[in-house]
Amino acid sequence: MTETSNLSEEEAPQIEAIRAFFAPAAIFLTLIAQLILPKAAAVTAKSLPWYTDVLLVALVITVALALYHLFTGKAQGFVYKSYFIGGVFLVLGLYNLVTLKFALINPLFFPSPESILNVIVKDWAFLLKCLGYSTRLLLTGLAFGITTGLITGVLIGWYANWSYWLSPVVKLFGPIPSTAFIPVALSAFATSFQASVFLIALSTWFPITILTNSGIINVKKEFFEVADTMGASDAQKIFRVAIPGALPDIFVGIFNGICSSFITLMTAEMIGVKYGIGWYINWQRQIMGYANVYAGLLVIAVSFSLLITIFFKIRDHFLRWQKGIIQW
Amino acid sequence: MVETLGEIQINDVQKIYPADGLGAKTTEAIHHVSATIHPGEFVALIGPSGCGKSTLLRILAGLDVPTEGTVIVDGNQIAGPSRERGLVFQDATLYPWLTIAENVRFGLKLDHQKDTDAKVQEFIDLVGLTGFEEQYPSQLSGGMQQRVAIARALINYPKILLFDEPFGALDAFTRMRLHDQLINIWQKRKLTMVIVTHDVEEAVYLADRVFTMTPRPAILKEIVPVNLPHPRDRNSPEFIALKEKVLGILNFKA
Ligand SMILES: Nc1ncnc2c1ncn2[C@@H]1O[C@H](COP(=O)(O)OP(=O)(O)O)[C@@H](O)[C@H]1O
Ligand SMILES: [Mg+2]
Repeated sequence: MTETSNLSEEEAPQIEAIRAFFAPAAIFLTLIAQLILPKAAAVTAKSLPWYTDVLLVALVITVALALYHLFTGKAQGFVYKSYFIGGVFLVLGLYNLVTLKFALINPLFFPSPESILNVIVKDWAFLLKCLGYSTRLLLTGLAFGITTGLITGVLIGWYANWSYWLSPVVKLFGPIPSTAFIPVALSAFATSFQASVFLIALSTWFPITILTNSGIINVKKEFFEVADTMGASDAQKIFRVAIPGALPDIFVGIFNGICSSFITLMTAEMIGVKYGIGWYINWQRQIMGYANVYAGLLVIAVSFSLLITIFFKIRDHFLRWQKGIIQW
Repeated sequence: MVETLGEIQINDVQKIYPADGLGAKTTEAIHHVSATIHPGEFVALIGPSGCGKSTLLRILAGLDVPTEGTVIVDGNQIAGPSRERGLVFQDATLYPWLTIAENVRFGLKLDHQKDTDAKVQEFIDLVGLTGFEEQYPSQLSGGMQQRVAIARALINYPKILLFDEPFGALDAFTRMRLHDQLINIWQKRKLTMVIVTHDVEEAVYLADRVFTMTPRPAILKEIVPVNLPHPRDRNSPEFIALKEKVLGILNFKA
């Protein structure tokens, strides 16, 4: 955000106007290429309007924003992002040339933008259903993993006895990628859903345990002594000093846990679980539906990124007392 | 309300730290110290760095256990830290995740007290930090943080307040302002205060009696009474004479 507010000081108004119109210009160029160049002969699929439509909509929106900026000086956020937005569309246009227009790469494995968009337009209900399944599985696994990770992390970090018995177990089983447990999990649990919940929880549990533990160990000893001189009980020291003090580390642990849960989710879905985005991608790959594979990847990219954004919002709220935390 | 007492009897206290396993031998930090601190008295412990002042103060707080000897507070041998004995460290050790008001409220929360807003405000006002209630510690200067730490300790109505070089990290002007504030609070609340310092002027300015300690292992060398009324004049001949006397005991030529 600070970068955007500095913008007006750094750049003269003319340069700023040029910057604002960079995105619409790039999109316009991409659109012209799509409209005037003929389809490659090697591409046999019939033409679809979606890509052109997206470019048109993007053009209208960015032109409107650029004009709005020109007349009011507002929409600074858009001006700042303008180069990036334009760049994205130029790369997209280039990919369109390479696939649809000149068929320079195998159209079977690298479908054109319009055929990928076509999947989203035609198959959105089923994609959404798959996303729902994935979300349910992921969130259930995360809930178990975060809870158990916090509990073991606090126990090991706080109680010497728990540390004595649990630390070796954590050290032994933690570093094993949870996907290595797939055969065990599939036979140990009644359903593949339960097995996947277990695997996702396992992959989340480890980093959270480790970081909660080290976070608590690194809380300044004086913080506990101050609490002692105010008559704090053990439980009060855990919940009012140890955990809040370890929270920055705990959030790093949860972040690592979420990231490894994504990997586990995708692997679990590609191996055992019915439905879900990972399952969809794997299934489409097997029937050579590469446009669907890309559409699935797009859905994953958007939803995972959304989840991480929500996570960072929560973290920022809890760690608002910290200065200069990493922005997402 | 119960009368605040706060008599401390230090009976032949010795502290030996065990060997650390890295080749270092045992450290005798305190070699048999005995003294009595009267209720409502302001005592300064002064001595060179590393002589065992912090160790003695931590024993008084109940955070460390003496190897030999006992500490009796108002007739009861102390067996650990307690709300009766507050402690203020050199760096304020405020909880960075709590606002100023929440830091001050901390001890009341531990005690499950309800409706504490007025009381918290009273103690924030007492240390002159009205208006900073919702700030976080990192937004405050060192001197302000130290005042919050004092308020956080005072709000529990301890009989005894212990300070371990509380102003050591502050600039001279802030330190002098805080000296006056501290005397003010002490006169209002009539509690026993023990301050560890290596600043002779600070000791003579604040304390009723200055306990001088020798380098390790610490023994109590001499007790210097300061019979000057507050507020004290740092430039008066009596004040300067007392400073020289303490310096002389500590083996520094002025
Ligand atoms: N926890 C400890 N373990 C071993 N030695 C210690 C410990 N704490 C303090 N000491 C030693 O005891 C002596 C007195 O320390 P301290 O009380 O902190 O001195 P002061 O506060 O007067 O500077 C020092 O030599 C110090 O190294
Ligand atoms: Mg010390």
